Amino acid sequence: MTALKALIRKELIQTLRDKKLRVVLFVLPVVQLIIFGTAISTDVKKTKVSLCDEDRSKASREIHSILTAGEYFEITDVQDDCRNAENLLYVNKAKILLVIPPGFERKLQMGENSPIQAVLDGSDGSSAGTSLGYMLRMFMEHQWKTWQKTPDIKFYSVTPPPLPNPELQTRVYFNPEMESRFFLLPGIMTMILTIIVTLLTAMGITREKESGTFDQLIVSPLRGWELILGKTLPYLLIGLADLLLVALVSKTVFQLQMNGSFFSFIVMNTVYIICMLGLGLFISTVSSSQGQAMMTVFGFLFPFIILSDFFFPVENMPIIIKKLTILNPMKYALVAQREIFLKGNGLAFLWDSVLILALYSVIFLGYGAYRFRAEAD
Amino acid sequence: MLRRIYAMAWKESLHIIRDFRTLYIAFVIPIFLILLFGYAVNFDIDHIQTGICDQDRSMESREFISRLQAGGWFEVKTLTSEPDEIQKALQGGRIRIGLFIPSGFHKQISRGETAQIGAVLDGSDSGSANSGYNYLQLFFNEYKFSILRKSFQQYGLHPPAVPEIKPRILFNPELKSRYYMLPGIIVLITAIMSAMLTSLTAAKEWERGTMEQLISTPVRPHEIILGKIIPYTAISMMQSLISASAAVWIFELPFEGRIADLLITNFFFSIGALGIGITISSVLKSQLPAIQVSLIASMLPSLFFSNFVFPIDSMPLPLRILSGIVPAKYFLLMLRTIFLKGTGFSAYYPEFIFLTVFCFIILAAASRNTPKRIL
Repeated sequence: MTALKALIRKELIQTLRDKKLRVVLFVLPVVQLIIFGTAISTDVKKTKVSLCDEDRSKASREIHSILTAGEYFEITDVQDDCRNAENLLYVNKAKILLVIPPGFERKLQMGENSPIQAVLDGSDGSSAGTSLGYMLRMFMEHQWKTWQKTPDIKFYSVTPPPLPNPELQTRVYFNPEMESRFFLLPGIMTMILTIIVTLLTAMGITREKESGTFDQLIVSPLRGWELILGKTLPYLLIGLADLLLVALVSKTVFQLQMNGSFFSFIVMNTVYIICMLGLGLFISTVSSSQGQAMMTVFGFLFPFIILSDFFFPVENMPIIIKKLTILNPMKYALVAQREIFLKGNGLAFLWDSVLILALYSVIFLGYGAYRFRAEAD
Repeated sequence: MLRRIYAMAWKESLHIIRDFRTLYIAFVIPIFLILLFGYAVNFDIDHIQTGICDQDRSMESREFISRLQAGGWFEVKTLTSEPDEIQKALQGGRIRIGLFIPSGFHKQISRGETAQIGAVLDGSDSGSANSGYNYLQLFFNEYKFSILRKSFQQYGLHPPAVPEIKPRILFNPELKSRYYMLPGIIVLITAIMSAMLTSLTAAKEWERGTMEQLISTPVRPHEIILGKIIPYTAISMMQSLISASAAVWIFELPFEGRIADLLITNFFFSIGALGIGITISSVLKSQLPAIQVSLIASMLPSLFFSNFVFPIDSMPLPLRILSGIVPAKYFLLMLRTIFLKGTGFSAYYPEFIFLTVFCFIILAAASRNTPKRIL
């Protein structure tokens, strides 16, 4: 036991003594979190619009004001010559081009429809789609207002007929402002945890192999399981410290509230960290250099991250891949993290995810330990 | 000088070839990623799981529901008259949107009173909540107009002409997410893989003490850096060309531009990305921190500050300024232009100039951090 304590102490001192590593472990995650939290927004605001007005009338100026009423669009330039205007999109000078045809006002007054053409750049499709949605909605609202005013006394000497007026009242649960930030921050915590714990374990052990100190440990009186515990427990502590740090920063800087219990947060994450420790341990046994360990870690982590529902919705994936995500422990941890923070679900709701994570921990750690001991012998 | 660079490059190539697994993974990861992204990543939202609580049970409410189903955006999973059922389905994650049609809806419609329909969205998945919200608004607007138009006809009124928008989408008319995602993934793969490949090279030499040996030879710092960069440039370019070909052949990403344009822009971007890795490596001089820093330095910008998924224009000003020095942003713009628009150099020459300048600066920085003599 004293030998184990000594090994854990040595491991902690060795990791935390290194100034660069300290920065990597405790400063970078915070920087990462802050950049993610401020940069991420799937809202498309201030889209630059080039206007090509061939009518130059009161009606066409009204279009101008409909469009710039919110903060969604900015008219950056007004062209007169529409023949080559489309070219602006080809040379990346505009994202959206609005063409108001000649005779626009006259036709409107005569009661004819005279559509304005909106040309969008589909090569940046995610913003194009969203902007188009906003634009259609703005024009529909304008149309609604105009139509509601239509049946005036001119036509009806008595009272105007009742026109239907349905209204949509929306409410958003679990994240009322629909802040993508709140949705992504719990995911970022899980991602930071995954990368740090796995890399640290895998590369930490291979570093000892490279420098030859691993053989010294093997010939020491430490038993196999002590060696494994000594090599993993310190990283569990560091992982938990990192987790608390990022959770604290999310709370103080971004006002992310933890709606669920702190207890379930700690339990779920501890189980997950053990799982990633096991993965790191396993990778260290199949790698002979830090370079190889690093490459293998990313061979695992890239698919884990992509299929974790972090950025890319699993719901939209083809059925086979959706089924394959069962193999991804990170998905369970990430979804559970979100439920704890946003929905406030406790272990009563999350027990199945935690159970699956525990199962993965046993598999990874068990197999990793088995290989580790085989190698040590 | 050329001879020394050649010797360095040859030495570095031998290192690479000897470590077969790293090389193998360096090529397998990009292929794997592009396949995974191509098949799995899809932002095209349809079939949003919806639950409806209809307490009105009238012709009007049934018309609303059948219109909702006909649109194709929403899939009605639960249809009930019990509000609790909708709440439960929402909490359990079985539906994303719950709609409530209160009793008396049809009366309010016919009397011209405000007739409210309640919508509840699951915001714990804000991505789909956002698009669900937008689609719901669009659908609801269309619904409003259709019933208004009907009552106009009923009373023999003519609605006034209003300005209407007729959209036309260039380069990707169906707005397939695959088309704009794949170029972004090529950028992501190239940036991350390149920085990671070189992030270990200098650190490894420092850790093993072979850097001192190198310094004591007549090779000068910039020759060390160039020699190290050359073989990796070949690997990095192969990686992105493999990803690009997979994107075009397997996922039918259009390729409108010229291959020469792709090669040239790719060449400079690869050097820049490799340069970032080697600079970090020569500053930090040890492998574990070098890897972590390179990963963050390459992944964060190419994911967040490149217009890949998150629009830069809606970010706060300091971040918009920061994104100005991110090569990934410029490379992505060029790739989208080359692949989807087919426009040449004239469409991106300012970005291209930036990229070449960036290469020189980063290589100079790497050379500066490689000492001329042992201290």
